[in-house]
Amino acid sequence: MEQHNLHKKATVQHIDYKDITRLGNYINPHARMNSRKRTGFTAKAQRDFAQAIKRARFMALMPYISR
Amino acid sequence: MSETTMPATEVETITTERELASYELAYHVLPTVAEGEVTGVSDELKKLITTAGGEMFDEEDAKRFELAYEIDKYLEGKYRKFTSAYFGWIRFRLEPVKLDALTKSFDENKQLLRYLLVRLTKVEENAPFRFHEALVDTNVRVIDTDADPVSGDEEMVSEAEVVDEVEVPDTDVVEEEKV
Repeated sequence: MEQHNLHKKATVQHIDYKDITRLGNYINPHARMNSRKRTGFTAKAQRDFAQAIKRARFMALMPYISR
Repeated sequence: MSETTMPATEVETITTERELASYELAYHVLPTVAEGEVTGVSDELKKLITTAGGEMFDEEDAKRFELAYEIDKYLEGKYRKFTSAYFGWIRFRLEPVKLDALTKSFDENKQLLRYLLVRLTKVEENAPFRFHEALVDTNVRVIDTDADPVSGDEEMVSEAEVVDEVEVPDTDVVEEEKV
């Protein structure tokens, strides 16, 4: 399966939990995280992404649920 | 293989490497604090960090941010709901042993709505992310699209249509089930 080229570059820089615009690209309208199938991340990148989302949720930068 | 103690030289190198870890403290200051006094609160936090033996190396000033959801905070015998707060962060290096005392002092601070203390990896440390600057950038982009009134209107219409389409079949399904 093709890896997400955008994120390959991004993994070098790392997804920050405060980067809500970029994190917002990988959630569905209910604010749930997209699966690896949809994001196309590597296993490590997906773990980093999940960690970042959870931190952003705790700090109320992103919603736990919406709609 | 019976050696259980490390050679002294190796021990020294490890302890010096592990001495300092870098952390990021992200915090929400209560919206009840006046706009001008927010810097005072973040200065207090910085003082706590430096007195605990930490060295600050980066920060972003706290600015108003609309929270993604309501936060309940127990204040003076009542739970109060907050929908906005001043969000900022401070990065510092500290010995991990001293962290417990520092977190306690954060807990005791009554002007904080919530805080998050994160240990930074090397990648994170080298690429600090500036929250408010990034938000301003995205806002500017939104304004740019509004500058073209025709294209902006079209987008709005298409979004509204999509929402209607989604809602209508839902109700149909429910009715069929009832019948």
